[in-house]
Amino acid sequence: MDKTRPRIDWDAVREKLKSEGGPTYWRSLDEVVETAEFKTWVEDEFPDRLSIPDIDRRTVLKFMGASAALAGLAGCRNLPQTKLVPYVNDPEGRPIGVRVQYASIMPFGGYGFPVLIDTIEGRPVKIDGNPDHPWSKGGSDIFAQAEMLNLYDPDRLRNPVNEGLISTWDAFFKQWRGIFAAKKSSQGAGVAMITETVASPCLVSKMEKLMAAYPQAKWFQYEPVNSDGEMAAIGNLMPIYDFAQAGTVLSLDGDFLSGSPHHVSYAADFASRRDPALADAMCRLYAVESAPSPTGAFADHRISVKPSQVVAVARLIASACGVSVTAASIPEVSVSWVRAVADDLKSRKGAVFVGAHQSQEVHALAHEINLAIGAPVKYVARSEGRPTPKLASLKEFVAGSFDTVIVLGGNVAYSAPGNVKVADRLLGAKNSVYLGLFENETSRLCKWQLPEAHWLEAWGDNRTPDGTISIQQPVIEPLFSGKSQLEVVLGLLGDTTSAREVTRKSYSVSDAVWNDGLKRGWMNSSPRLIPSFTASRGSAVAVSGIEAIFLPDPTLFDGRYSNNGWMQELPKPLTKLTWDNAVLIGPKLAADQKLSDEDMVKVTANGVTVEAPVFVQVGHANDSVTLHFGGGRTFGGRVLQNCGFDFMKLRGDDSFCTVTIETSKGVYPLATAQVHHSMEGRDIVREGTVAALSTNPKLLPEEHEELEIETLYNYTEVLAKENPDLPQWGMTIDLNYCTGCNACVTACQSENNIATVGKAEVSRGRELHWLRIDRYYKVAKGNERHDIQTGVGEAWKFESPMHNTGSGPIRDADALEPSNVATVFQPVPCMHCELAPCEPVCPVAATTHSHEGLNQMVYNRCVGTRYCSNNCPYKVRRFNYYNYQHGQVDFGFKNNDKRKGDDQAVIGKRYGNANFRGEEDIQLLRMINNPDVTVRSRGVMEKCTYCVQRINAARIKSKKERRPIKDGEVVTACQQACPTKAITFGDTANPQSAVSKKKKEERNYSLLEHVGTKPRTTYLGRVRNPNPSLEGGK
Amino acid sequence: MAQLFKPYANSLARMSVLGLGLVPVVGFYAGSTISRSGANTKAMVALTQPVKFSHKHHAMELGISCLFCHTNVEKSGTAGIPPTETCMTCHSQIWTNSPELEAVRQSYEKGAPIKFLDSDQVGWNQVNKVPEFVYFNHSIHIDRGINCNYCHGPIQEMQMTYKNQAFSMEWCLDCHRNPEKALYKDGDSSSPKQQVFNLYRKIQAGDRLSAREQALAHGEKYSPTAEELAKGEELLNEYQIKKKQLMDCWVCHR
Repeated sequence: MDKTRPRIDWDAVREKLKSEGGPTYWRSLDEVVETAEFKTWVEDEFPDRLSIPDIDRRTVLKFMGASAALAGLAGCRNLPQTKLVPYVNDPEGRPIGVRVQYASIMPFGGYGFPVLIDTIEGRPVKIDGNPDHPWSKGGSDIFAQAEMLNLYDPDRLRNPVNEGLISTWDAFFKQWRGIFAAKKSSQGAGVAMITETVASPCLVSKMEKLMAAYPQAKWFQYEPVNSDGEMAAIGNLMPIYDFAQAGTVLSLDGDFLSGSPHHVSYAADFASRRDPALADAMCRLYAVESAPSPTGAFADHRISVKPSQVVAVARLIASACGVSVTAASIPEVSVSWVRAVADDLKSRKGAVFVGAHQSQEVHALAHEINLAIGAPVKYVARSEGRPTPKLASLKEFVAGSFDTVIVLGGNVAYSAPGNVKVADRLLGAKNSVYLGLFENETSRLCKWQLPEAHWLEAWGDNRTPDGTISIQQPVIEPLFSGKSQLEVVLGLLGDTTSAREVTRKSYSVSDAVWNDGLKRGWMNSSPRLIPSFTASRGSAVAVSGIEAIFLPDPTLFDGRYSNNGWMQELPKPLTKLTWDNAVLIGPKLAADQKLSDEDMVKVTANGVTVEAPVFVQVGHANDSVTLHFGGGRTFGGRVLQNCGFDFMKLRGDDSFCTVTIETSKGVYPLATAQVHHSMEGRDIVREGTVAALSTNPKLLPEEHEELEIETLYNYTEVLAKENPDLPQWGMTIDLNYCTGCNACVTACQSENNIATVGKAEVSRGRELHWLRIDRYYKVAKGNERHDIQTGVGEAWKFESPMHNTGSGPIRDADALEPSNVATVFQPVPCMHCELAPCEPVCPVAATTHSHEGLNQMVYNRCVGTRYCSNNCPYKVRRFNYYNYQHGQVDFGFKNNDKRKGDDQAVIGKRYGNANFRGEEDIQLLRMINNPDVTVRSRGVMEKCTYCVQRINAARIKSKKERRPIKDGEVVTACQQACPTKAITFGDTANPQSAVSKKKKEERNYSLLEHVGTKPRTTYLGRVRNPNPSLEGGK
Repeated sequence: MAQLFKPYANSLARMSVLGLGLVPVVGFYAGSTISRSGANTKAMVALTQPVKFSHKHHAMELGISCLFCHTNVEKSGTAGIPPTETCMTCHSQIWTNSPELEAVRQSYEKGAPIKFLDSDQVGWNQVNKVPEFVYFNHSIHIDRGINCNYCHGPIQEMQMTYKNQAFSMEWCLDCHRNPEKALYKDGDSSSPKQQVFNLYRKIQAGDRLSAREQALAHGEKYSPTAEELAKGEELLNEYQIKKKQLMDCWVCHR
């Protein structure tokens, strides 16, 4: 809704959460106290529309008349004459309409993530993890999926530009080879190259060649998300975790389950140890963190501390694990907690993981613990070129004097901390050049702007963090005359060899080996293992008062996805914010300072002040704020305009620092999806402990009533009996493995041509994601105590170590105490109910049931009454209020009331400036569409289809091969993307199928079972594995 | 004053009232007839093309297989339009100076897609088309022995290509509801796929055609006999075709 939300009444929240009648699971504080706003969202899926009594009678009659007349005419339209444009020369092995997959590697933070790219008629349409590669295991993450939109972004740089004038590559190389020739005599003095981390062996060798030719030239590296702390602690080593072997994991402010494609294989390995069938061998996760992350949400025991206190916890645990260190206790952590964690780490093959942003000492201690306990971690030499601490490198550049600066990728002018004045240095250089995909804050400071070739367009190679080499093979010609970093360095060297040849020649292998490596996605290479090392702890960072921690944005990363509509609109895993970042504060700080969501505050740190809105994050550490960088960019595309706030300029040398928060005037509307599509009902999420599984295998909640659904018509049996030879499709989502990482949501968006709608439309609840991830919070209530042995009653209670001395019963848990909050994620796609409430209410039979049990949505029949959506208890149907696919609604929220139609002026506003290239841009964006899925237009209802295009493809393939569809042959997009394999899909009529086996498990339950809809999508309850010695009374 | 209304005015009034009732009926009937006629659907209307390509000449008189040009029809959802180089396989040797082939030669020389010589229009005018929310798959139909002519009409007799059907949903469903009507075995082909292309060999060779094949060859409607229908039912089983599945919306729309 457009109007700002009512203020949160903190006392009411506290009371309500303690009281018996309060909610057990809740999605927002509004829901806890049942504010008027929350009620409107529950009562009406799209609350801000006009109802008929609001419109005057004449207008109603006019519209009725017009609709009746137009409805009749709509059917008479003739199809436009279309053209068939054949090839001149048919490319071999690429038949029209058939998907061809290529293996490649996506660079992210310098290192590579192995992917498979689906192309159709030479056009890449989908990216997924490479299932055969150990560093992906088939899963992927939001960033890998989002690269698809980056490739087709109409805002990409299209031409080399010299001081504002369009130029050519030839002109650039001519001028710059001249500059380099003139530098020959001084051996390149005054030349600076700035790159991000570079792990590509080819590029490194060519960079080194350039550096060798100009020995006085300097190579600097910077990116805001880096391993500075880790490198300071353990040198040029990279810890590679084997979570499949770990029985206990302690995460010290580290989100190893999401946040980077390099965590995909970690998540997969970790999930393999979370099978409840492992019973006692099930891995146990402890998390110590300030800002809630998916990893913290997944943890069995989570402690929320200020960022600077993480080191104190690390010292305590290190000391208990036998590492010699002086440790002082802190009030947030009890002695028993530390003892329990240390015991588990030692006895259950533990491993300690640290967030990249944490301080040197935390990294040093963690790896000392890892060595002491024999953790399943191997240490390999960092395989990047010239491993360098990034901030120090950037500072060295700023301190030096360079007249010739070459920036290859990245965005230093935006992503440098506020106290490092890069901009002046770049502006001051006599010769400067920027190579990147987009114009940005850095490129505008350089004399030359060069369009970079996207990694899907260029030859190269890269290494995964464990050192395995993969070839980056292009799948499409550069869309806009771009050149890769490798090609530019080659050009500066005067080397005319093509990037492909350079890549090929750097591997002295036979063609057969090379082709095999290309095909499967990696070359044989072995990383250099380092058997031992000494960690250096450095000095502690001094912080006092309220602390701020600077973290990369969960969906925009360091700002590189700021111009990506998918990433802007993707609800961030915990806040569910879209299109903006905010100052995240805990409920306690909010209550103390009388702050509520959307209040503007002035955040001051290191002498810089930024005004931004507050967002209250349940479970956030007290006396600290989280500032996500990546938002608030000012230049670099049309989508990122007016989105979020730039907190990077507040940052100093460390990832956390002291800040002051002052209340400022006004409010800033934030679009959060956390209250949209609410299901009001009992028993939505089920969870329990592994110890209680034996007594309560179904993980039933305390107040569960056995429902006897009496129906004369057993649809499941009837369907199966009537169609004995047809598959009956079904899905299970195992909440036990869902980390809330959002990979499924983005994969679905990419596969099913789902449009983005912009901030104004999101705030009206009109986001189109077919799959949403509901995030539920839970706080222990009243005097309840958890009995771990019987498991009766509330299966999972949250004890705060602050209140629990380890011997007595848990006292009243304070709802606002951050460590008391537990989080559960629940992905909700269409349930494909066997008795679907949406079907009987459709007046035109646009939604019907297939004989295979799919709830079909036929777009061309839909007239847009939205009755189906109204009648859906799960709120999984989405309506196209505008022609979003054709950019009818502008993206900028300030212009949210311009609804003039499909003309170019309005399309232009979507991008927020006058440089709109009109139809050409729309054509380019259309290339991203999956040709197997209809592109929906205005007035049509849509929803999850179980990826019916994939079912159809598998069916046709199997029929041509005269065999039934194999189990596992149909893989939905969400299932394919999920790193932890939480989603299973298949034929429920086949008792041997993976999905049938999942459904037979005791933990299987239906969402809102009492409604009697018989959903085909069912859930498996979440199983936690808390430490018995930390549970109440023990 | 003379009577304004003569006695026959009563009859006129009655007839007008009745007639008024007929207007929407007639209007609706006329509208639906026009919208289904070739005037609207362009069925049986040959379109202008960059090259006056004759299927009759190439497929019948010269006996070139459908698959020579429509290479993907067995593998992919789309049959595919031949690239310029396919035309030039022969036309670099024969009819090298024919003005009719100027568009082909220009495309090949310039490496640019074929275009009309007298306008800026690029590519062939699409003749057979289903709306974009319909996903028709050629390969599975060929795999079931459904002959090209079943949908495309007497293509081997067409000088200029026209569509034989309006491709209305009603027409698709006619077969998807009763697939046994369209299934047959010609008795001398090794596979249903081969049977599709065997028909043209037989037509060309002047072999004896069955009544069904006759109808197919000339694009006429054929009503199978009870015996053939029973045989069709058997084939449904043999090919594992599930009639119910064929009628699900999402088989074609998605």
